[in-house]
Amino acid sequence: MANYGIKISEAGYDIATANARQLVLSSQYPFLKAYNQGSFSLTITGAGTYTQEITHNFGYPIKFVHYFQIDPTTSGGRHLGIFAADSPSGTICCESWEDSNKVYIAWEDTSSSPGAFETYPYTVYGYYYLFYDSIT
Amino acid sequence: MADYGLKISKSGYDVKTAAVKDLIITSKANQWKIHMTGTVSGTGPINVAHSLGYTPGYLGADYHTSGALSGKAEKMHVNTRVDSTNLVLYPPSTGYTRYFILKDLGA
Repeated sequence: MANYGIKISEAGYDIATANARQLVLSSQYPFLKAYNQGSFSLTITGAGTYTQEITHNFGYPIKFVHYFQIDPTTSGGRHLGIFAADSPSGTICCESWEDSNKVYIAWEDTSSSPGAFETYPYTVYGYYYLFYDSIT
Repeated sequence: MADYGLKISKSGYDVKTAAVKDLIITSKANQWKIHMTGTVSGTGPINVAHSLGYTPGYLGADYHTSGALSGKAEKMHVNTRVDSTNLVLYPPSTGYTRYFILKDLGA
């Protein structure tokens, strides 16, 4: 059986015996290949779900990562797409889903006390990476 | 126009005709590059200075070494965030956070 390819080990590890996690690069394992990156903003004017669509038209669901930041003047940085707050009650969070041609990134402000989390209107900024790689 | 670079296809695909998703690596697409990685434990917020001067992308996970979730990993704390100076982490009280700060921009 053919055994060929490229691999580079981390400093201090013998390339002949290093395991996969001791390699800097191995052609045995697929790399995430970035298709593009971008940003958008959503103006939140009241309770509800605000969705940004990003079209790639690949015909298959892709890997992607996104970050969110609320008004830069009032928050300390970008959150990975897992941000959620329960303040004072209810749900403030970001969500994402996709189909074969689009990625959907949403900001949900469905607090039972609308406006308590942030005075309306406020702006959230989204940042995303899309990859060529399929999730399947 | 110059057409050059490196690409390696997955097993079973012809590198000359394979779609990008069927490549192991191609120099036509950016691959994420890790700037630094490490673990932190303790009470958050804990600042990890990255010295990049811009807001990078990041990934990571919380690992539990005791308690009901001992031996398990889960997503990082919801308040985890990054700016142009620090990655701000909130490790679990029952373990530590492993983080990866990327060279690549957070878009």
